[in-house]
Amino acid sequence: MNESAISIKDAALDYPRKKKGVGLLREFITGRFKKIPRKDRWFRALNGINLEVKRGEVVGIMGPNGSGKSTLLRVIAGIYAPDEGSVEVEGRITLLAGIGTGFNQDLTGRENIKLTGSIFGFDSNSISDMEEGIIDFSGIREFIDDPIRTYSAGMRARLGFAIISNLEPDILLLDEVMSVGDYEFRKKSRARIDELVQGDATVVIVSHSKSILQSMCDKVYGIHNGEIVTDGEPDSAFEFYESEKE
Amino acid sequence: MGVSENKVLRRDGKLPFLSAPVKIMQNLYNYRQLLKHFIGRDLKVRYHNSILGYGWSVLEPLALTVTFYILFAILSDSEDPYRPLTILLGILAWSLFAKTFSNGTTCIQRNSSLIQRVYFPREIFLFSKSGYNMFHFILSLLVIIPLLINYELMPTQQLILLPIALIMILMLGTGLAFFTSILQTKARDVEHIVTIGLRISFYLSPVFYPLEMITGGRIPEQYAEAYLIANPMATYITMIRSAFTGAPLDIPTMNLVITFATTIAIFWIGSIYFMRKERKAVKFI
Repeated sequence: MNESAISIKDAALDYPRKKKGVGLLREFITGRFKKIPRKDRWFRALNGINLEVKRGEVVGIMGPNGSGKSTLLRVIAGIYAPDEGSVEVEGRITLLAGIGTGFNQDLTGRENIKLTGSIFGFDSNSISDMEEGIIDFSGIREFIDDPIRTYSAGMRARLGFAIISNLEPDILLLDEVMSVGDYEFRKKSRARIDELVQGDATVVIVSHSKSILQSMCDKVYGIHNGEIVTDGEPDSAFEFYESEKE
Repeated sequence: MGVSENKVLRRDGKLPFLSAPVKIMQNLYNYRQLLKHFIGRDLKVRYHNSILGYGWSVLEPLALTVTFYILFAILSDSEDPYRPLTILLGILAWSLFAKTFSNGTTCIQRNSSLIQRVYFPREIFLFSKSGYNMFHFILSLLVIIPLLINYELMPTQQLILLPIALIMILMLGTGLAFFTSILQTKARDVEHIVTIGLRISFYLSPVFYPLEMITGGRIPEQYAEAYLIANPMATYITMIRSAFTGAPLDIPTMNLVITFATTIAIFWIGSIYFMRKERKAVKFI
């Protein structure tokens, strides 16, 4: 088995400047005639990224807003394919970022557990095994057979977190440590994340919080304008981040 | 365990060209569990209220059939012994195509929250829609049984035309959706253009009238041939009708070959286009 769980070499990713602006076909057609140069339509969101994460390692990524942190996580998760370079990831990946969506409104909570499980590549038997644990963790057992559309936002978030965090991934990608639901559930989810981080999983955390990264990570990288600018030493990443803030 | 366990994920590989359909079939096989779940989800949502849900889903084709039947009884003097059956089969076959095409067009954009959360081959969305519409078609087909009994139509060897036509319709609808689903991510009004296009071709296809009204001598023969080639659905709808009435398929073999070849080509080129553009397209949603 390979030593490293994530191996990124010289990866670059372009991203469109106007994401949803090009709504009308008219604009699409006229845009063609106007010949907007490529560099005005696309920008380099990630550039020359080299990153090796060993099995079981916990790595933090820190950087100002818009520096490409979340994009990097999505590239690792396979959501975006790199335009240049290579990205190799071994094992089951789960991206934990802003939750509660991806549910089908007309299906019940239980049915959504099954659906989400199969989306993440589990077969019916393993999903049935996890089901009770997920329902317990979510703390909404009495509503689990009601359609999702009857749920409050808090209940959806709870169920979303309960499902994702119980999938036991080999590689866990965390985009900002989240604050979900009431105080009790927040405490519970924080404890669960700690548990996952301390377990066997390889973890990549994106966060602004120095204290979280310091307490959890083996290595911390600073990222700026789509490039990794520090060598993995937590202190140099924090130093870089402090200097960026000024 | 699950399909993606301990698998190395590499998304920087070469983009398939001629082998794109093969690659897609492999992906569908590897993710068959997920495909099953997606289709099951759509069917469950559709038929959630069991009997009532099914009733609603066949009510529309039945209502349309009655409308067109009355319309034709007034307007047309042509003799079609199986007119209600002709109209109903036309409408069911057409909606299989139209829904596969239009659902496919929007499926990438509509599933943006899921796409930004987890990776699996995006063509799963398209094929889950075709699969769902296929099941829906078969379930709706049950309403023709009383008509078949009424006309004392027994299954003949022509029934073999049914599966062929169904596969071709799905290939055509999905093949076109390969293109439009990508374009839809960049320009949100592609779906409206598809809707208008489908509405127009609904009337230009022999959906609520038999093919003979077009090829039966009302227009010059060379135009009739061109029509058959330009409109593959005309052939497929007629095949489905023959499958049940047992009537011989009145389409020249050469036309059949060209129609099948065009459909396969649309699917093939579409799959190449989709596989090569999908990576860029998901950045726009």
